[in-house]
Amino acid sequence: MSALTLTAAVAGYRGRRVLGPVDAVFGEGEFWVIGGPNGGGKSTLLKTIAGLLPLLSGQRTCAPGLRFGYVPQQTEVEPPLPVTALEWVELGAATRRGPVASSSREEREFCLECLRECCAEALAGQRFEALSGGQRQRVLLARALAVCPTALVLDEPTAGVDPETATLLADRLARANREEGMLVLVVTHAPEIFREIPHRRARVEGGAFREEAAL
Amino acid sequence: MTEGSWLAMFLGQKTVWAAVLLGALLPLFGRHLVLGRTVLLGLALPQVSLAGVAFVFMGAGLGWRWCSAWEADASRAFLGAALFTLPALALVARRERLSEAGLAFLYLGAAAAAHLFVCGNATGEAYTHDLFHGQLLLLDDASFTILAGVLVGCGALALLWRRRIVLALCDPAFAQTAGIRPGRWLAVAALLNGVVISVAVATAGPLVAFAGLVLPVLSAAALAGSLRAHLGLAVGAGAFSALAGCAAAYRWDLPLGDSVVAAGCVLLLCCRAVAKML
Repeated sequence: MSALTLTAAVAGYRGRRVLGPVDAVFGEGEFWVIGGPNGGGKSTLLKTIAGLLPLLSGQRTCAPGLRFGYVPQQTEVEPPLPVTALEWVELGAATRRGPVASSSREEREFCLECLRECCAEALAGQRFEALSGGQRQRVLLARALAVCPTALVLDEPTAGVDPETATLLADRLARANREEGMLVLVVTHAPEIFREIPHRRARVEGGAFREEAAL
Repeated sequence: MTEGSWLAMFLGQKTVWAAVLLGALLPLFGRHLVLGRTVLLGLALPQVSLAGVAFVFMGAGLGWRWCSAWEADASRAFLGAALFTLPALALVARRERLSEAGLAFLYLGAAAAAHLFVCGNATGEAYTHDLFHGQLLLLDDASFTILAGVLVGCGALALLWRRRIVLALCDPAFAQTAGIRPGRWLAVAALLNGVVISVAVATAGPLVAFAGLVLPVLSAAALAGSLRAHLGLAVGAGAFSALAGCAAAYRWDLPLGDSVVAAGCVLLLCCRAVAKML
């Protein structure tokens, strides 16, 4: 069943087309690995899928109840005040309820569990800006999971990350996809990391989207 | 005068409590500026507020009916500050993020306007001059009540909604994908800041307002290990530097606003030094 459909979708910045027209159907419980050269339109596609970029033309249709967990590139997140890893995850979890700030013990436990699932529990009390690239990536994934998403969207999650962390992230994503039925969309320059996971593969180049055979 | 009676007289001053209130609560809004990387906006906006105050005094001097209707100087100051600050914030919000050059233009234009509006208007000139130096001694009972009400009310909202606001300021893309409308929360933060800056400038002047917004936040950032700790430390640092500045001003007969700002600067240097040692 389709979770998200793009129909003749054209996206870009300040009216200038960068991507499309794209026709694509992303089904529930699918795992997509999207590659392509720098400047080809991968991140634009991801932002379009996640609803961060309004379409210049065409249509984006989401299934009812679709909820995104977004993992940006770790370099895009640089808080100017001290925020611990646990606080980052709590900010994510807080999006599931009303706007008034109050955190229960259950919510705190849930956030710690999200960190634990990403092997980042030991980082809970550490300042985010003091973490390494790989540690940050684990925390950002835990924050996305704390949203309780039905679709995970990740922008270059393995960039600047050691092989051990890359494998760990791939395993956690595979589990979310297999056990929780999450739609997972990963933009990456290193598709080989996801070789062991059953997936669909696509390439975005020159603004054109085309599906390829999986590795 | 004995130490005890000096202290009793000092603590009995409404001015002191106004300064402490400003010192303790302005950092709640200064965090928005630092998190949104718009500290320079925090410098420009109080100056815009002061220009608004000067504008209303000019209007009253020229016999404009809507300005003359506000008889008390303090009421004119509140009106003028709000009149200029809120539209300026709305303009800034429409342009999403003003460039450094834009902020420099805003600051310089407002500073010049604040002086030009009241030249030849003795009352306005004296009032804005006192405001510029943070002479909280001008505060009457009604102004104190308005200041306290606005600070406590807006402070409560900033605390209640702090997670949404922090998320919208730090990572709007994540907030949007999670179903939070960051634009709406940024507007809420801007509105709270606009109201608080207007009232702070109308009562304490632009120097004290900007210092209260930013210095305690930076002092706390040097020592805090988490957002939660930062909140407490910033409030404590603001209240402490206000109290210390007031005490110095009363003890040695120094200008009040300047003393409070100087105390905040000394505290920031101390916090940075301690952070380096730790």
